[in-house]
Amino acid sequence: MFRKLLFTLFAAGSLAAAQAQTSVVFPRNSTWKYLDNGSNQGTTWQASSFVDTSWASGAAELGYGDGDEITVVGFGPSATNRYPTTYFRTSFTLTALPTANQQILLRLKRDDGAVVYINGTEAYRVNMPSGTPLYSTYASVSVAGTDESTFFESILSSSALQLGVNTIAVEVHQDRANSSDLSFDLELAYKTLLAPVACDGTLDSLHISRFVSVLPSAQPDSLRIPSTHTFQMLVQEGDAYTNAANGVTKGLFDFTGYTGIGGRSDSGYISLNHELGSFPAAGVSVLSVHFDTATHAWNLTKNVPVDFGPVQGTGRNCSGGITPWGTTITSEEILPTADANSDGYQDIGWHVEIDPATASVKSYNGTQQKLWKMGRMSHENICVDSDMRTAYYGNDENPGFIFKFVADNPQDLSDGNLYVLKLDGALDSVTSGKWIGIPNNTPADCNNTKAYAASVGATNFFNVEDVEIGPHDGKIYFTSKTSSRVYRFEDHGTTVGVSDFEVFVGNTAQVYNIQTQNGLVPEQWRDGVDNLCFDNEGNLYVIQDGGRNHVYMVPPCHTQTNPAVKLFMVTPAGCEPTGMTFSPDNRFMFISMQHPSSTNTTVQTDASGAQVKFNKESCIVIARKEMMGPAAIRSQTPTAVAQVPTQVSNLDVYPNPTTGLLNIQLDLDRSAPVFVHVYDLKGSMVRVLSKSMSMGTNILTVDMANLPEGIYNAIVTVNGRQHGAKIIKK
Amino acid sequence: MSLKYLFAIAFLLKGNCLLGQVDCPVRKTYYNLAEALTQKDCVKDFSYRVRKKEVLSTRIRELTRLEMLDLKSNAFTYLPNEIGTLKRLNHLTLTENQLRRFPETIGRLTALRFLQADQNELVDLHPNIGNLHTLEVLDLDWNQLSALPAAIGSLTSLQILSLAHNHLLSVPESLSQLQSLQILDLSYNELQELPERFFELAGAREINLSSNYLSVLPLFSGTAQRLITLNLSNNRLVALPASIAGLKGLQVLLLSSNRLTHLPMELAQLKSLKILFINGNPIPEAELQAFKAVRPDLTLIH
Repeated sequence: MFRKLLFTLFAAGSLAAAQAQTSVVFPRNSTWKYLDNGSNQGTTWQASSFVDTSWASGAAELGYGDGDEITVVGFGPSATNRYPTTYFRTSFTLTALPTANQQILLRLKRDDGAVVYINGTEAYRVNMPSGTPLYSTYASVSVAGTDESTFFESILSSSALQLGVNTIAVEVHQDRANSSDLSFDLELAYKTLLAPVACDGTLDSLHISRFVSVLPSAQPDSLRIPSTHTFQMLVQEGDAYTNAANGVTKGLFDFTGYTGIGGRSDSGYISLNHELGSFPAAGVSVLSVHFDTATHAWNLTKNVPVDFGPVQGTGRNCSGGITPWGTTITSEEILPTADANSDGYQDIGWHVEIDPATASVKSYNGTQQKLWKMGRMSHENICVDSDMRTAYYGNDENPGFIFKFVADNPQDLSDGNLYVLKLDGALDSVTSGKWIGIPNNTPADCNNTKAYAASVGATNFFNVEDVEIGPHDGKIYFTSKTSSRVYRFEDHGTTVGVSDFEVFVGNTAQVYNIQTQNGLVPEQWRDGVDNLCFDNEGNLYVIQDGGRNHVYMVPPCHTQTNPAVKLFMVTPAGCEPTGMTFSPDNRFMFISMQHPSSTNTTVQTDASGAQVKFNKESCIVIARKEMMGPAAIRSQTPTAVAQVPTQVSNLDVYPNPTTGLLNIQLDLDRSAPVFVHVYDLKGSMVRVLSKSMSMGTNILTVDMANLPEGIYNAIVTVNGRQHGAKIIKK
Repeated sequence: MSLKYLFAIAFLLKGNCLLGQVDCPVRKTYYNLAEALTQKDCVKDFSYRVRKKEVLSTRIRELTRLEMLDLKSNAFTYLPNEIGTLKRLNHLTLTENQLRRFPETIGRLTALRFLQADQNELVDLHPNIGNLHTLEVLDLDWNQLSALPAAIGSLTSLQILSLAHNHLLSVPESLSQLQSLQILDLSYNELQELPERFFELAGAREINLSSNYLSVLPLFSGTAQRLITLNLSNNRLVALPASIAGLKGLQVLLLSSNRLTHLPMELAQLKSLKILFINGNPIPEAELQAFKAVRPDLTLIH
């Protein structure tokens, strides 16, 4: 109840609806013809051609009983048996129809119910039962209070009006025979949706953030990304680990953290969190991935689970962060756990640093341990500053706080000082704040970080989901899930404090106009802002766990007064997008889809030619088509050659059955990139390889040694054409 | 019959599952009930998070070997009684649903060790919950509970009890019977008083009573020797019982935002006490300085 009340309070304080301007085409307080003699006019009165010269005339507001009418209409001889219906007609001349970015806005004051006809066609009805309204039909409910004088707004069909003369006919119905009042007035306007501000004009045309927004909608059963972009499926839940003894890839994908080997953007590791509630179900998988510059696709060469045994396991591995020195931090939410190994620290609820190269927990002073000094809480993520010492994070709880940790030594987060943020002013104002030190010396201190923060009066931000540092402005951005807002502030250090704390984007009820290929579409922001991710140009990707589970992109020029929100992704039904990171060169975006519906059936072709469905946990990479997939290949292939399909012959796989290595041999009549996908009988992809092959006989070797015995299917794709082969693994 | 034939028969029986053994695939978590039911004799872990699902299928009972059931983030308004047939279930997550009650059969989950039902709409607990004698963790944060059944004292294996953010007006005396309890969180409730024997929780290491309406505390029992952290912040305490000096193992004491006008010197006797939050109380500065002089080793937040 309390949480719902909080939600309502935040929603009630929302800004105005979608950014728009209105221009009136038919004003209120106009003169109307009216008939108040208690006669049943049937339906002919609705037509434009109907002759109403015998009707009375008067200026709106028309009605009786409230004392605010300009024209008082009659209700009949009996106050207890008033006329159920009063009729109104008028006409006006329209000189311009609405443009593509304009909507026809009806503003109607009515007490109690009304049906509006424009040019003889019903355009709108309110507070009336369905079906043909009769003279004797009463309105559905009584209108009272401020509703009697409110102009309620509705959008009409874009074809409701015509150039030239338009006739409006309205029948206003009472809710009962002894109703004391009647009110009517009407206004028509064009509502012009304002396009979002665009600020990417100076960016490289091939930057990943250059896209036209996708059409907003509820989640379909497939992935929707801009037509300029493509994706490749890297791993799904249930795909075999490289070592069969480790079983299969766990579920509930969350943080999807790419770290480049030596800072590279074409070779690295993906640390994939599993947000499950217990060890060993939870944890992290580390994928070794390499981008083949000949085939323009990613190869997954290794998939191993991190061994968390030395730290008693992990639980609810949520999001995390990438450190500037190339390690990954996985962030645990809290589970109600004790201290099983009696080391003084409660077991679950910590940041844990991993070396993805070894898929193991980092050691400090010779001991593998969690990052105790950062405190125990329901962590969501962490961001580490380029100074190699400062980190920011929050707790996804109520109360939820913003923490700052300053390590004693660079690249060593095992010890340092901890602070919590306390604002000087109200949460939704532009204000300043200060950092308050939190003791973190003993295990008891670290176990009680949240209690300490509450005791010193830290500001409650209500479920802090993600904290990031803006690469373009150095400000700290974070989400509050309860309010569905992204806040930001400038940090001047633990002594001086913070300034310019403000709302950057969002609020549940806020509506932003999204510029799509089909025009402007208002889209409500909705609830559930969760993870954040910046690209190198300061574009902020806002990932939702709630609402419609969108991935928005908010460029740095955005303000709430002049919004610039774009929609990057509509995600598959049932899922929550999670854990975005970028390659250092920002060509590639890594993201996961957590728990998409198992009933999603649409098959999509990814950049490697694989036929995929988003019907289980999925980890994908996204890039512009010029960077990945067939379009990237074609762009580097002479046109004459690309137009003629490559001929494949003499496809052979051996030894088959195999106990380890498998050779796939084929003849090509010209050079071409070749993709090989190997699936088990359940359809899970267990191997993906690609190789640029030359004209003639080619061999590609697949290592099947660590796969379970059984039957597999190999799909060899060359220039979009697929060739299959059955493989027996012994 | 020769031994050779007996071995052959046994081998055949094993291969035909007549001895009750099933060849199961590698243990994994299933996410789809239809798929799980095809392996119902093998499924030990089932996670079902579909958000809009309002009713759990009664066919859940067919997963007879189920040990872990994760139903987080659905829209369940109730659980079917059939859930009580899962005799091997030891881990049940019900976080973020719309449950108002547990089914009566909850008490039949005799192997249950972990029950997490935070962020629901539970208004009361069935006394049958007291039958869960193997239960070690009970998380009921963020519900609508205003009282607890006395049967809760029967949870003899309970180590962690979390009831934060409810509407508890009182807690039963039987709570002090939870001798295995290590962590007790009753923060953000509406408690005005505690049972007389509340602090006889011998095994308790951490007790959180913050953000309630407590104006007085019962005596601190000498049995509460393992207590390390006691959070009493944001209450209405005007005094502390002298028996607080008996909490010999206490390291962390939070008394922020109460109505204490005096800092009892018994606190100075707590040799293990490392940190004391006393801010937000109308205690004279001189008294705080005097306390600091007596205990310079203690971190005093004021």
